[in-house]
Amino acid sequence: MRREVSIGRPFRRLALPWLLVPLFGMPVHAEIIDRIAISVGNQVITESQIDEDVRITAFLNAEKVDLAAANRKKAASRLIDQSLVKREMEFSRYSLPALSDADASLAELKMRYKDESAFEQALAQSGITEDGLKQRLWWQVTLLRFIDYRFRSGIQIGDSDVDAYYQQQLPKWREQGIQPIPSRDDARPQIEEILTQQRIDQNLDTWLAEARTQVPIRYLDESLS
Amino acid sequence: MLLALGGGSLSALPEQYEGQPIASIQFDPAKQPLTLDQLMAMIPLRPGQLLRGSDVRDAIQRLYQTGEYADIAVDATLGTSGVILKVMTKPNFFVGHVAVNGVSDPPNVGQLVLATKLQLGTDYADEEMKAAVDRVVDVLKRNGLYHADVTYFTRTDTATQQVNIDFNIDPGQRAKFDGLKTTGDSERSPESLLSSTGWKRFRGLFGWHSFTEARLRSGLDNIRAWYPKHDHLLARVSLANLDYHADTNKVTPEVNIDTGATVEVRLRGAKMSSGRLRSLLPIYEERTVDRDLLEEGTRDLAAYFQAQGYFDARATYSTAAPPAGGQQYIDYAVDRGPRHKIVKLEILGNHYFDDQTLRERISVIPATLIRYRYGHYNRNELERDVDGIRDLYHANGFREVEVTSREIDDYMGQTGHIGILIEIQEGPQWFVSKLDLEGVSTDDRAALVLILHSTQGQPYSELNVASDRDAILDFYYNNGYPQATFEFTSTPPAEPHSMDLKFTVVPGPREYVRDVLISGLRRTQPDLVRERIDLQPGGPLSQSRITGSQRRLYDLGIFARVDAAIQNPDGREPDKYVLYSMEEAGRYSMNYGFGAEIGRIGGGTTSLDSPAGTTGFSPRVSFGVSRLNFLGLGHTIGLQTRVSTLEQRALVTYLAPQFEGNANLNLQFTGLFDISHDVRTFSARREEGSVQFGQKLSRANTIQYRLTFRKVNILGTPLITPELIPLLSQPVRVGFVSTTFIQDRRDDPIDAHRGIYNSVDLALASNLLGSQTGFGRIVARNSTYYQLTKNLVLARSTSFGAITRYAGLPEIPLAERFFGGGASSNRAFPDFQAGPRDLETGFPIGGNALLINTVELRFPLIGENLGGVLFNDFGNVYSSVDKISLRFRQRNLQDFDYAVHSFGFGIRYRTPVGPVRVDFSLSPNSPRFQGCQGSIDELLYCGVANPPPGVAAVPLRTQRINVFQFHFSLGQAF
Repeated sequence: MRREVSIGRPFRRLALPWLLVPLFGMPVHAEIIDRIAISVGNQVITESQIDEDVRITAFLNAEKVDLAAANRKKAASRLIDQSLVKREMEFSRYSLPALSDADASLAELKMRYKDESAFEQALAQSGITEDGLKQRLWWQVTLLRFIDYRFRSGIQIGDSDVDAYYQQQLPKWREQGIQPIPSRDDARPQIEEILTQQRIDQNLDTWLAEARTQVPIRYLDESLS
Repeated sequence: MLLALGGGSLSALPEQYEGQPIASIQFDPAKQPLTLDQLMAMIPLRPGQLLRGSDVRDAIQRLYQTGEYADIAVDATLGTSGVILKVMTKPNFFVGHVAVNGVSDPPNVGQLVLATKLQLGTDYADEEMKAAVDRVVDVLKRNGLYHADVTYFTRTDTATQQVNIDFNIDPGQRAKFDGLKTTGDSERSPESLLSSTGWKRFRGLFGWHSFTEARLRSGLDNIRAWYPKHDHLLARVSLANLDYHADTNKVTPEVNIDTGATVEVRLRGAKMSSGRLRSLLPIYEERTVDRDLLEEGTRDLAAYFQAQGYFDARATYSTAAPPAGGQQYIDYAVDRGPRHKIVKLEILGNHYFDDQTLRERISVIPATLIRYRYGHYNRNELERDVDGIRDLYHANGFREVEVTSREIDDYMGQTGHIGILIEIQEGPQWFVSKLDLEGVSTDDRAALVLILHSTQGQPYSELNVASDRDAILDFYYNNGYPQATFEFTSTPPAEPHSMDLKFTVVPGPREYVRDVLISGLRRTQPDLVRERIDLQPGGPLSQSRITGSQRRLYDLGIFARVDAAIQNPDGREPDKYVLYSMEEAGRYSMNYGFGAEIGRIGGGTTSLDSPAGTTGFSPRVSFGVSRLNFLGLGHTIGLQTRVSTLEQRALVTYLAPQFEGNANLNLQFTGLFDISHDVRTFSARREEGSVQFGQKLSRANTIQYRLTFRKVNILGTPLITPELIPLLSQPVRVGFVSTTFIQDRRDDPIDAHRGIYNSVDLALASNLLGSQTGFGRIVARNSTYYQLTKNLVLARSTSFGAITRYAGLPEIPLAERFFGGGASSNRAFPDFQAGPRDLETGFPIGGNALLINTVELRFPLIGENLGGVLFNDFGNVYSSVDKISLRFRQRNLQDFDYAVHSFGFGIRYRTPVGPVRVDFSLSPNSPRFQGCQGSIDELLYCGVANPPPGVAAVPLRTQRINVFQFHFSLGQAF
C-alpha cells in the first residue's frame, strides 16, 4: 500500500460514461457525473474515485496520467483494500489523526518543485487540488499508523530470527564493502524493525486476502473485475 | 468519518458542472423506498448550493449505506438556473419467505430451508440461487433422493422489495442400501459388520432399508461402538465413499476401518471396578485417546476419590509405547492419600450477610450421616467459592473486603478430621452519593431509574455499574436506538466511602417500524398472526417486541417454525420492515401408549369379599389424535381414549387458546364418555359435557368458569345395603355451574421448595340447569412450602370440602360424593377407600365433607437425585360437615367420622418429568368395619343369623383397612 504512486493529466470528465447510458436509459442531454463502480460491504467505490486515484497516484509518481483499463483496475484493487481497512478501523473505533499530520508529507512533496507555481501547475495538469492531495497524504498517514497499530502488537522477533537475518546480510555487506561491519548487537534494533515491517506486510497481505473472502465485493463496472 | 477519509475536494466534476449552483434534485424512479424528506435529510446536496464532486460522492455513499439500493448513479443537466441533478437508483431486493414444497421427509422442510442459506431479510441475489439449489440437491442426495428434481420460482413484491422463493421438489424414488464395503482390517466378519449397521430390514427378511443420512450415521456409529468395548480405543471408522448404482437406485457405503492397537487401561494405587472406570474416563466416552482426554481422566479420577473423602487424592497417567502392532497400555496411578472427613465449616467476620446466604455459595459440605459420609471438599472449588463471596461483597459496595479460607487438619485433635474456616474482613461499605444521567429524556429517566442499581444511596460497585450499563443499553435498544452508547465517570466526593456517578448516554438515531410483513401462511387466518405481533408501523423498532411476538406465535402451537427478522438489517435507514416468516406445522398429531396399574384395585365387581380392595393389576392402552389449527384459527380439536380393565374413556376437547388474541384467556369445550370402576363400590357410566372459560389474572392467579352437564348411570348393582340400592343406583343427571380460583406462587410446580398454592372450587347444581338434584359444593386447598435449609423442605397442605343438598333427590348421588384416600390424599387408605362405608357390605359409599391435612419433611438422601420424605397425614372423608372431627379413636364399627392418621416414610427419585414416588405408611387408627363374605346375590342374607333353608349363611366379618399401605406414583403428593 505504501508503494502506490503515479501521475496524470488533468481530470476532465468521467471515464466510460458511455457504458452507463444503457443501464439507466439516460436522456441525451444529461450526463452521468458519478456512479457506483464497486461495492465493498456497505461501502462504495465510485467511478470518479477510481479515476482520481489513478490521477493522484500518477502525480505522486511524477508520471503522466493514464486512464487505461489496466491502471483503473489497479486503482480499483487498491481502493478495495483501503475500504477493507476502513471497515476494520470503524469496527475497532480507531481514533483518526488530525489533518495537520499530513503537513510534513505535503511540504516534502512541494520540495520536488522549484517554486509554488510549478507545484500548482503540476497539480492542475493532473486535475487535482492541493487540498485534495493533502487529504490523500493524510489518508496514507492514517492507513500506515492503523496498520502498524493493528498488526505490530502480535509480532515477536526472536533471537534466532535476528541471528538468521544477520548471517544472511553479512556476505552482502562484505560484498558492498561496508566498513566497519556492525556487530550483531549494534545491528539488532534495525534488524528487528526490518523484520517487524516484513511481518506486518505479510500479516496485512494475509489479512486482506481473508477479508476479501469474508466481505461481499460486487463489481458493478465489470471492466474493473 | 468514512466519507471524510476518501472525500475532501479530490473529485473534480466535468468542468461545466463543478461549482455551478444546483437548480433542483430529482429521484428516478419517483417512487423510492424512503420518503423524499428522508432522502433529502440524508444527502449533502441542496438546491441553491454549489455543486461539488465530493458531495455527489458522499450522497451516493450515504444512499448506498441505507442498503435499499443495488445501484446508484447521478446525472446532471445544465439548465439556465443551474445544474439539474437526477439521482437514478435501482432498488435492492431482500429474501422473504422461503418455502419448500413436495419434500419427502427426511430431510424435513426445516433442514432444506436451512440448506438454501437464504436468510430472511438479507440481500437477495439471483446469482446465488444456483448455489442454493445445489445445496438443496446435496441434502436430498444425502438422504437417498438421487433422482430428485429441484426447481424454484420467485415472487417479487416491488413495493416491499421482498422476494419470496418457492422450491418445488419432485423427490423421485428413494435409494436403498444394498450392502457394505469395508477396507482396512476390521477384525470382524463382513456379516457381523453388516448386521450391526441395521441397514437390513428384520435381518434381511424384508430386504433393505431406504437410504437416509440418519440411518447411515447410525450404522457407522454402531460399527464404531464395537471397538472401544473390545479395547480398540484408537479405532477409526470413517466413510470413504458412497457407491451409488444409478441402474438399481441402490447405495453401497464404503467404510474404512482402522482398528489401531488395542489399548488396555490399568489403574494403580487404588481399586475400582472396570465398569466404573469406563464410566469415569472420557477416553471411553469419546472413543479416542489424546493428551487432553488423558489429562481430563486424571482430574476425573482425583475428583472421584476426593468425593470418597480422599481430599488429597492425585492421579497421573503414563503411556507405554507399543511395539509395532502390539498392545498399548495406559497406566493411571492414583495416590489417594489419607481419608478425611469434613466435620466443620465455619464462617467468621460476616456481618452484612448471614451464614445461610454465604453457605449457599460454598461447595464445601460437612459430613452427614447418609448423604455425605465424608463431606464434600475440593480445594479448587473452595477457591472459586471464596472468589464468589468476594464478588458478592464487591457487588454490595464492600470494595475493600478480604475473604480468606483456612483448612484446619486434625480438627479438635481428631486425626483425619478437617475443619474449613472462612474468614471475612468486610471493611467499609461504599455508597452512591449522587447519580447524574446525561443525554436521557425526562420520560426515559423515569423509566430508567426504576431499573438501575446505582442510584443515590445504593451500594456502589463496578459490578452494579456494569449491570446498569447493560440495562440502559437494553432499554434503548428495545426502544429503537440500536446505536445507543453508554459511558460513565465516577468521582469520589468529600465524604468518605461514597462515589458520585455520571452516566452519559448517547441514544443515536432512532429506528422505526416501516411495516410488518407476514409470509408463509397457508391455512392460518392472517388476523390470528397479526393480533399477536406487538409492533405497529411508525412505532419504535424494538428487538424485545420482535422476539416477544415471535414467542407468542410459537405459543400458538400451530407453527413448526417462526422466523423473525429485520429486512436489510445493516442498512442505515430511519425505518425498516419487520418480517415474520412461518412454516405451519402438520395438522394432525397422534399419541398412543401402553401401561399398567398395580395397587389395591383388585376384587370382582360382584364379590363382597374385599371391601378394602385386593392387590390387582390393570393393563391399559391409550390413543389420542389432535387436529391442530382448526379452521386456521389456532384452535385444537382432540380425541383422547383410554381402555383398561378398570376404565374405558373417550374425551373430546375443543380448545381455543389465547382466546380473542388475548394470551391470558382460553376457552375449552369438553365431551366425556367414561365407564369406570375406580371406586370399588360401584361401576358407573358417565356422559359429560362442559364448557370452560379460563382467565389468567396474573402470573400467579388463574380463574376458571365452567358449565357442566353430567349424566351418571350406575352399572350393575352397587355393593351396598339392599335397601339403598333402588335409591342410589338410579341414573342421575346433574347440571351445575362452577368456578375455580387458583393461586400458585410455588417456585417449582413439579417439586416445590418454597411458596404457596391455594385453590377454591365452588359449584352449584340447580334444576334451572336441568339438574335432577340441587346441591352446592366447595372444595378448597391451601398448601405452603418452607425451605428450612438449603436441602430441607417442610411442606404442608390442608384440603377441605363440603356438599350440601338443597333440592331434588333425597341423597347426594354416589358419583357426586367425595371419595378420598390414596397416594395424593390420606395415605392411610388405598385409593378412594376413605370415609363412610356401607354398614352391611363394608364398601365405601363416599361422604359429603372432607378434611385432610398433610405434613411432609423432604430431604436429600443419596447423591443429587434420591431424596426422602417423612410424612403425617390425618383427616378423612366425613358423612357431613357437622360430623367433621379431629377425634383419634374410632368409637365403633359404624363410626367413620374421625381423623385417621398415617405416619410414613417415602423415597423420591428425581426425573425430568418429576419425582418418582414410593410411600410406605403406617396408620395406627385405620378404620375397622364389618363386611360380608360372598357374592352379591347372597347380599340379602348378609349377617342374617338363620337364613332360609337351602341358603348358605353369609357371615358378617370384622375387617380393617390394612395399617400398612404402600403407594407408588409420579410427582410429589402435593
